[in-house]
Formats: sequence, C-alpha cells, structure tokens
Amino acid sequence: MSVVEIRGIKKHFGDVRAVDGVDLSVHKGELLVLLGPSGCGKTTLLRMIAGLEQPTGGDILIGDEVVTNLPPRARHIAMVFQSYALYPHMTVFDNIAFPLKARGIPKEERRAKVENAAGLLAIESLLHRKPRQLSGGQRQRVALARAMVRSPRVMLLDEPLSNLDAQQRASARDELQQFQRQMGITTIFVTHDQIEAMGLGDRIVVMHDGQMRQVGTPQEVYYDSADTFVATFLGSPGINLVHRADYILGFRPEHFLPKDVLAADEEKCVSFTYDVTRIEYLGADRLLYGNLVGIPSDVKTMSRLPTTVPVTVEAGQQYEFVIREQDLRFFDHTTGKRTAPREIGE
Amino acid sequence: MPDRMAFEVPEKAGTRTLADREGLLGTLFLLPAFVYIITLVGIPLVLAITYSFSNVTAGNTAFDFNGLENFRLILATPQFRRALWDTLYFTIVSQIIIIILATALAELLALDFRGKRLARVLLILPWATPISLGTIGWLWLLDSKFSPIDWVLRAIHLLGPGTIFGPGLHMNYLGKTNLAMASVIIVYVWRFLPLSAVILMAGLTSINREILDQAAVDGSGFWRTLLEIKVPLLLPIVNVALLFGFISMFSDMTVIFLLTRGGPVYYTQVLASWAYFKGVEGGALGEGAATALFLFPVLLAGVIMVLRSTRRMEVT
Repeated sequence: MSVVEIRGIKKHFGDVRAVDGVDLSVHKGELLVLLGPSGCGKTTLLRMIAGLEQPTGGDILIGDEVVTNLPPRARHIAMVFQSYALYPHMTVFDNIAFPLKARGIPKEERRAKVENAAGLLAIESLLHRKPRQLSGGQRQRVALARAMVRSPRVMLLDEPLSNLDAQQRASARDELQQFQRQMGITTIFVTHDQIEAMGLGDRIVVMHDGQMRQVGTPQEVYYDSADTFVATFLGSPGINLVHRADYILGFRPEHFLPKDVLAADEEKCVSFTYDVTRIEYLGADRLLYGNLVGIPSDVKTMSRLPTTVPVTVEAGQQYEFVIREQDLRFFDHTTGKRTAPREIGE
Repeated sequence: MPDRMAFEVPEKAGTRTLADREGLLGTLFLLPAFVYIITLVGIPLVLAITYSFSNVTAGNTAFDFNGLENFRLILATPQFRRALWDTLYFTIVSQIIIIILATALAELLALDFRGKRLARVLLILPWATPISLGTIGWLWLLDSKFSPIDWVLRAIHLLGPGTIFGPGLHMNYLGKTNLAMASVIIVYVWRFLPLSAVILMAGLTSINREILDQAAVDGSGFWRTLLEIKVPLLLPIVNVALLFGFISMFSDMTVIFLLTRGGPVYYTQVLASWAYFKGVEGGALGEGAATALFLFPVLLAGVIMVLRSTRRMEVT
C-alpha cells in the first residue's frame, strides 16, 4: 500500500525546471531516500510533499487523498530540517509540544505524549533545556521527537545528518534507522551523500536535473545501475567507464583486480594490461590510478585493492588485471542507458 | 612539458607599508570622529551638567555653584511637572502604537507583491524628509481655519451643525487640549514609524526561514506563528527599535516647537521644548540645563538595561 503517491509532479522557477515530471509511490513503513547532487531537485520535491512549495503541475496524494492544494498544516506530516529548526526561545519540552499545541490537544495529554516521545529518544533529562544548550546529536533527537510526537502519516527528513561531524554521523545514522524501524513511520529522507543513502535506505531514488533516474534497493542501484549517471554517482570512487566503438563498458574499481587474485575462480574473466601510474594508500584499501594499455582515455581507470590481499603493486609497472564477466556492465554509447551484455572484441 | 623556469621564485621578502600597520591606521581613522564627539557632544554635555548646578543666566554668566537649587526650583513649577508627564505620556503612547503598526508593516512588506519597492520608498519618506518640513505640512493639515481634514469631515457630514463633531465648522485641532495632545501623538507616530518599521523588517528577514517552515509543517496558523514564534524571536530587535524611538523622542523638540509651541497654554509641553523656552528664550540657563538633564540618569540606566538584555537574548 502506498502512503504517498506522486503523479507527474513539476516545479518550474521561471525557465529552471527544478522538478520535471516525477512519478513515485512510497510504501507504508519504508525508508525511502531521495539521492542526487545539489540542485537535482530533491529538496524541492520534498518541500512540495510537505506543502511548503506549490507544484507547477501534477498531483500529490497522501493516504489516497489528493493534498496538492492543501496547506502544510492540513497534511498531517512531520518534517525535520537540515538545521533542525528548533525554536530557540522555547525549552525542549515546549519544542516537542508545539505541534500538539497547534492541533489543540489538551495540556495533560500533551504532557503524556511529550514525555513518551522523550523517553523513546532518551532525552528526558533535557526537557528543561534550551536548544542552544544541546549538542548536535541531542538536537537531532529533539527534532525527531517533535516530528514523531503527533504520529505523522509521513516523516520528511531534509539532510538531517549533514550538520554533524563525521564521527557523530555514523552513530546518528544507526540511531535514526533503528528508531524508524521501531516506530514504523513511513519516511522520506533527502541526502546528497551516497554512503548515507546506501546505509539507510530501503529504496533509493536517484535524481538528476529534476528527473528520476532510477528507483530501487541500494543493491539494485549500485550493481544494476540504470544508466551511466547513476553508476558514476554511486560508489567512491565511481564506476570505471571505458568508451568503445559503439558502447560503453563499465566496471567497478573493486571488481578490477590483478589476475593472480581472481585466478583461483573458475569463472570467465576479461583481461586487460593495466599500466599503474599512481597508488594511494587508504589504510584498508589501496587505490590504483592507471591506464588500460591499448585503449586511449581521458579518464584514469581505477582499481580498489584491499590491503589484506597479499599482492605487490608498484607505480610505473604494468600488470595483467581482470574482471569477472558477471561484473561487467554495458551502456548505450549515446543515451548512457544500460544495455544487454555483448561480446567484447578487441 | 611546461618550462619550469617560467615560474620565478622571489628570493627576498617584501616590505611593510602604512596600510599594513593596523594599530596606527586605527588611531588615524578614529581621530576625526573622536574630535567631533568631544567638541560637539562631550563639551556641551559637561557644560550643561555644570550649568545645572549653578546660577548662570543669559544676563549673568558669573558662575556660582548652587547645588540642587535649580532642580528644586523647576520641580516647584507646574509647567515643568506637566512637561515631564507629557514627555512620558507622548513617548509611551506613541511607541506602543508605533511598535504595533511597525510589526504589521514589516510583515506586510515581507510579502511579495507588485510595487513593493515603491511601497518601501514611500514608507521611509517621513523619516527622510527634514522634520521641520514634515511638521509644517502637518501644521497646515491641522490648521484652525484651513484644515483639509475639516473639509473632508464636512463633506462626509461628520462636522458642522447637527453632526456628531458639530455644531462648529472647525475642529481647531491644536487649540483644544485633548485634540492637541492627540495631534502631537499622530505626528510623532507618523515621524518615527518608518525607523521602527525598517528595524523590524530587518529583524523579520533575519529569522531563519527553516524555523517558519517548521512552524507551518507543525500545524501553526498565521496568528500562532506571529505571536508564539515571530514576536518572541523579534524581541531583541523590538528592544532596539524602542530604544532608538525613546531616545529620539525624548530629545526631539522640533515637533512641539513648530506644531503647538507647547500650547494650548502649556498642555503639550515636553521637557526638551520647555528646556528651550525656559533656558534659551527665558534666559534661565541653569534651570534650562536642569530641565534638559532631568531625565538623563533615568535614560542612561534604561539604555544600559535594554542593551544588556538584548545581548543576553542574542545568544539564543
């Protein structure tokens, strides 16, 4: 059953097509991630679902009800903003109670609900503080408590982790996912960080230039990318794309390994002579930059080689590197869309 | 291969110029302002304070210290007490009206509509015109015989024989105590509203957009957002607007001087105008200085208090 349904939604700002015809349905209880580079229209899409932005065309349905022209307060949704947007002059308690107060819920019931929400997020001890006395992680919890306190139909999150430092982010991500699973609140999460998207999402919507490029589970969008944009946007470093006469060959750096490493397998492999020009040691991995001998290219081909694999590789040397055939991806030469596998002739 | 030698590496460090000497530059740039404040603000203030404790008059500049005698004298006159009361009354009533109207105006001008730029220019005009010019305009509007407001009132049958403001043909705004006081307040509001509105407008635009979006999503309507979110967040700015408003109104004598000259009788006299009439026109320099300085300690304490509380609120 879909909780949110988006039909041909568009938003144009003058000549700029921020969102250009998106169809999407969000399932009950899932965590859907809108992923894309900045300016791809993901935040605009989220703001239209919230009712903060009026679409140029198309419809939005929440719980089978058309809400396209309803103001935000009539949609019964919750939103957590990038800055958390806690009301600075109110205590944590009043912040969490605000949406309940706005809906006219009596004082006693309000208190019970706020305390319950605070308990779930382990922030009972902070209820009398002001937002400025809280750490980044605590602010996020308060914002989440305020979002879930009135049992929203959908929870919208706009890059809520980007204000945290790298260390807090991993634990905040974990907490957020656990919380979402536990509560079963249908959630739409906007981010430009593919690691966040891969780690959190039940499904990922990859957006670019106001359009949806692919919808799927993290595995699907990563291993079976619909086009070269999705394939290069996901993964760090992104996929290697080798332009051939009438198609584009794609393979991920972690699948591009020295022959000795893959030789034990019986699977069919494609092999290249790889001229390594530079090596980056990243702790767990070695990142190799180099060129495929005999195939001219503007872009370096990369390999990601775990340090645990006992192979010596040196810059300036040539090696035989292979890719299993099942890890090869083919894209159309002009449209960049995924195509069927084909024979690789030299 | 690019030629490496094309990038020449300098061998010696450069020199330091006047523009690099921040300490000296700071002193140099501050000097004119410093001289200006000392000569035109500092010295007159010290002089006024000394005069207020002396028996100096325009006719006799021999300086004799006479303690609090001037203050005792002015407190004994009904004109002074009336002026003190009127100053507070005019200022407080005007500022209440101004803050309410300014909030509404700021809110209105934050919206997007056609002619918004023009509306902003029109708004600032009363503040940009010389106060004397504006007041003279009002003087004609409120004239006892030729007031256009009277024409309008007569035309819509609110003034004249058998009407609610009748039976006379003229309201005589500046000649009746209550009307004169109301007129003074209206002119003050007209004059000081733009300043407050602009200050509040700046405050309103400085509120984080996400806070207001959050309120909308949280189900808050127009009035709740205004009263529970915007007004509390604007409070530090309102304090600043009030501070400026109070100080400029306390020290202004032009409006009274041109509009009513303190009349009818002395019922619209304020401290600033009374100090002028008494000290300059009446020649009693000591008493005039004492009148002008009467509220100085109170104002100073007020200013310090407001600035401190504003700084405390800003931390949020």
